Amino acid sequence: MEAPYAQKGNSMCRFGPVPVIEISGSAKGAARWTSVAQAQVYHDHPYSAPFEDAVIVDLLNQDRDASSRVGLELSADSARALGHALLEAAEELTEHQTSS
Amino acid sequence: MTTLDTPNGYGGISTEIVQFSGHNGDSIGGYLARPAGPGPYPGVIVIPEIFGLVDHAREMTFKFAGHGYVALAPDLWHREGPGAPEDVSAKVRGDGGVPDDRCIGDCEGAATHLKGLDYCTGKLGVIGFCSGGRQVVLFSCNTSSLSAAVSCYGGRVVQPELSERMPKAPIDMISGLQCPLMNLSGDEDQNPSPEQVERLRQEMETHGKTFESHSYPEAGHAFFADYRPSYRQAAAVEGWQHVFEYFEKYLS
Repeated sequence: MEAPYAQKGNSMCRFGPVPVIEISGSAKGAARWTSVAQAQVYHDHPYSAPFEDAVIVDLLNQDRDASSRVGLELSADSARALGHALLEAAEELTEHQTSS
Repeated sequence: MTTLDTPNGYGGISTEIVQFSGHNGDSIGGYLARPAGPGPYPGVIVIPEIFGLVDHAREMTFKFAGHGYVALAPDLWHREGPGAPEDVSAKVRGDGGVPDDRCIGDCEGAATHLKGLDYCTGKLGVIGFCSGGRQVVLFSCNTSSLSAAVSCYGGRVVQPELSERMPKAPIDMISGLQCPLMNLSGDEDQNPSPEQVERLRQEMETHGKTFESHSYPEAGHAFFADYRPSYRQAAAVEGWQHVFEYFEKYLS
């Protein structure tokens, strides 16, 4: 894993709209579960994670209410590992569903 | 420095949420901090980083109030709420950011609000950070309400990309600038890079505008942001000195 505190400030402010991925499911923030219908994935300054830049995942409901947001701020290695794990789990689930 | 209400140069402050007319006459919110004395005090519009009116942005207003200014941070994300500032601003960021025309209108509304306060002299400055640093140049080039402007690590002032919400690069608006502008950035920043700051300096010179710029060693983007690892103590200390000297020069 990379060092959490980068030495240099080369952050790039995000520019332009982020593509929306239509999804189906639920996500839980600190307070409650909410249905999520849209995801956006990009890299920019994180608000909370101790990095100068991070991969950010925003999950929102169908109406894109800001109060429905469940957000992730991940290091590049973490995002990569999570992405691989998601793909693997999705493949296993699809296999299970087709075999049963 | 503006005289504060103790012999040792520090004074109390008070804060409040205010509502004022922004772009298109829309009622928007803002966070206002003022010195506790009767004033009148000069005003500073504080344009936050991309995260909106989070703790750090509101704390910036405290700092200016403590130094003798009425500080107003407009909620440029007001229309996309309700929600926590970092959630509302994330949604706006995903949608492509605060539209430039709306930003100009909202900041002009903040200026009008400050000028109407009986404890404000009406002499106004603006300061902004990160995306707010870009918005400082944008607003300053489209208003006659300001006496000084400070852009702190404003990315994409020299903007290679354009979008529907940001259709023109601020550097191409410099002919409209009606107040002195100061740029603060880090030697290691790439947004703006030292080359982009130099390009801005050249453009200011071409149009005969008053420009001052400071770049700090061993600092990159967001060196004032003391809640993030980008914070650089030495750059921040020197930077704040430059900010307050600048506003004292032009807003007193």
